[in-house]
Amino acid sequence: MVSATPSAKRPAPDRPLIELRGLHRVFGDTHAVRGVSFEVYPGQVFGYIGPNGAGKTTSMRILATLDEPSAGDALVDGLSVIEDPDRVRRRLGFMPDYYGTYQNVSVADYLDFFARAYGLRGAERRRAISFATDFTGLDPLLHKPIDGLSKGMKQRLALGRTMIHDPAVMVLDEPAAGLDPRARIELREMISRLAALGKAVLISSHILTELAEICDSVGILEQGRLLAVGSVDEISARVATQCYVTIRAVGGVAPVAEWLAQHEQVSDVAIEGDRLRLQHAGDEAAQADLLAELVAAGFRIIEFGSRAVSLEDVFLHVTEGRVQ
Amino acid sequence: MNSPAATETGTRLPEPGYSAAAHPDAAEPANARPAALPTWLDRWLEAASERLNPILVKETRQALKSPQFVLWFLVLLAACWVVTIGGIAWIGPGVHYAASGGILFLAYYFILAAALVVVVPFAAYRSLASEQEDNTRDVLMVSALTPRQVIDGKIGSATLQIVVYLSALAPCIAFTYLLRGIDLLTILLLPGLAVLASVGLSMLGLVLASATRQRYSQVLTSVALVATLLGVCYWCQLAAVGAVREGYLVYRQPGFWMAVAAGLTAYGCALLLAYFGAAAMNAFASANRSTALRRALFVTQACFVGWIAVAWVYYDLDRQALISAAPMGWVFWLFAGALLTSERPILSERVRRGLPTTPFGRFFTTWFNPGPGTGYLFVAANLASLLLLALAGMFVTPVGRLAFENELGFIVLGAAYVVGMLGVARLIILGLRRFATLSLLGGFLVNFLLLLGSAGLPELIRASVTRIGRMPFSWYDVVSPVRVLDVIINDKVGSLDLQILLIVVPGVSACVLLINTLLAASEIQQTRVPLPQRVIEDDRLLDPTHGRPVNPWGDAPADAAT
Repeated sequence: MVSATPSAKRPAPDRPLIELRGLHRVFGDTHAVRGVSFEVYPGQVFGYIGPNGAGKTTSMRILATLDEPSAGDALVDGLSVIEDPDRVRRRLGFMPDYYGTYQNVSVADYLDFFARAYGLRGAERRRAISFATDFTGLDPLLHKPIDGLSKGMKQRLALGRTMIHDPAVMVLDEPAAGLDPRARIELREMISRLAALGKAVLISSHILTELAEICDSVGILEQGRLLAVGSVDEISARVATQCYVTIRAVGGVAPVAEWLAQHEQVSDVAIEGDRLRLQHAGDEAAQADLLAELVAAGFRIIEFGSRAVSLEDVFLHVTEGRVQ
Repeated sequence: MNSPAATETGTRLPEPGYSAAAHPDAAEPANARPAALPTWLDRWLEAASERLNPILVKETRQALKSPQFVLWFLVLLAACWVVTIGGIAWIGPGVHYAASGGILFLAYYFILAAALVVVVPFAAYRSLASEQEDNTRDVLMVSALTPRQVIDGKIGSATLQIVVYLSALAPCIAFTYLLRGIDLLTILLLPGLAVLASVGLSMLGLVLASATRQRYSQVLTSVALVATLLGVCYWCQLAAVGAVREGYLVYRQPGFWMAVAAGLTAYGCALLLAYFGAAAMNAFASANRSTALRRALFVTQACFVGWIAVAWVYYDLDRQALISAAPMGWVFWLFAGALLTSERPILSERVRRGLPTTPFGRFFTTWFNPGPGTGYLFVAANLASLLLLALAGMFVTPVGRLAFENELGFIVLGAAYVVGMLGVARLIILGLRRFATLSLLGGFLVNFLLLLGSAGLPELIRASVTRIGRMPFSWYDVVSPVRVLDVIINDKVGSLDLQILLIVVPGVSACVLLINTLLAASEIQQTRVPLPQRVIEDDRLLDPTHGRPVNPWGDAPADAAT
């Protein structure tokens, strides 16, 4: 089993809160999920990334006890989603990629309903609603009808509903979809806060830059297969053999490009305006050597920068763009 | 965001510590009521409201804000006012001496029946169907509500609407008694009938909404349901006209109240079956969706047999009554069997955790365990018990309209055909499941097609071959239960043919039963599996003797908190 180890800054309890064991899901001829296995520990944010149709939502629905796996199992706090869905539901909050709101219901009534549905009574229900609205910043809208809320506010409401029973595990399917930049930043902060409260958060998104900022580890899924699991740095170290270098020189970069074209470790040299971009197949020391060689060759370098491999680069490297 | 605790991005986030203790200020509701009620009453009402079904609470709040509900209620009130004012104006001074209560009652009843029999059940259907359309079904299902709580909430909401409509019309209906021309019993019975019809049809609506998840099937079921509701509404109104005109004569007939009691029993059983059926359709795949339904089926059969026995004792019936009642039992078990034999062949570990361990328990309750094999044997055992009771009844009742041989043939062959057909269908389903996934509906369709084929094929041969078509019975007809039972009951089959039929059909059915019993061995031999260690740990945490928490926060029960 591939294990995404908890971040160094957080404690590592002995039992994962989310554990997928060889999960398979077949719909007729389509093998939506193929033997997916990973673990998520308390306080960890796990990013689940992959192209459309990769099997992210399917495996999340299985974890949320809305679907049954064809083979394998998923455990939440050590409890099977197949055999003990009732116990799992009390520990898990699921936020699907749609709002799931009722008509003719206010924000307060909506949260009150779900608090009741999770068995919260009296003062503890009121506390839970108060906390959820406080956390999501919905207090001013408490008595507004849901129908009149903006997308961002509905998303906050959905997050409030998901956390109303203080679940140990939160499964968020595309929570940032359709949100404006400010709402995304706010949502990202909320998710980080949830993790800081010790929750295990499984989150899927297409916006990879955002996931890279909040996730302790990521799992890259394509055609139902988990291609890579680990922190972005770990995966980068495993899959990325090259880095991107940008060069600017006094007198233009064309002669530099000509000189670099002969260099063994350099490839994909391209001039973009007054800059030169290239891929370098070496570590930081090799890049320093390259700079020294350029200077020794008489080029007057005024900018030499290398960029680490981003989650997007890793994603593009790992996946092949296949769909099913 | 204008919170003092706003972050650099403007997000208002509370301080760390996601616990109730971090928010002591939240102990009181944001919209706390002014002290208009005595404290003890307020507390009592609050404690009572805490125990209400969440869906009932939510849907009541929704209804109060829903334009549709308000519109229907106002239309109902307006119709009542129009009927009252118009009716009294039409009767004129005669209102003081003419017996005009019956006519006005019928007018009010038409309004009541339309609201109760059409509006309320359709609203119940839409309520559950829209959970699918509005994408709220998933968030509802992942909550801690059980499928039965969901159905309870929906039917509770329908009942509340019934009470609201009934209370709006009650003064008008009571007023008709003062006008004379209608007896109190009719005034009580007819709204009672409308209420029962409303609850029953609402349950039917919930069953249909649970069974149909796709949009196209929801459209079809909507149309079918509306047609049914309008039909039942029309029937209720016809019944009301008959009851107002001649009800006082019917009530005095000796069998009336017994028929009412029998009808109520049948209604109760049907409601129970629909309730468990709807709950089963909303349950998670690994849950035990069958045992409760089988118990309800068993209770229904017991009630059926009980009422036949009561009628037998009270009315000194002849064997013809048995002949008339027997097909009801076959059709009931054929339908139930078609569903039970189509169940998933896998007994989940969750179900196996609750299997009986003692030989006594295993002997009597294995047939109630989920699974197509036990389902088939459950149906066969119930049919056998029905057959034995019917045979006992025949032997103690000397009088019959047909020859004893024909009556015996009718009873025995009917049961044998059901056992045989279900058994063959189960074998086909077993075969199909080797190559493909077959759902419950798929299995039910196999049963239906088999019945259709067995009844239709001989008729096709009859239509094609003139010589055979002219004969009342040929051996091509042996696979058709409809044709065989028809020729027996109409005495169109020769004595020798009947004797051969009595050997062949039960013989084949017995073989099919034997094969199916052998194939069901793996289901019958299932034994209890121990609880996983993690579940034992969880149960220990939730042990009531240690102050059972009501949520993962470990909070004390609400009673203590409030």
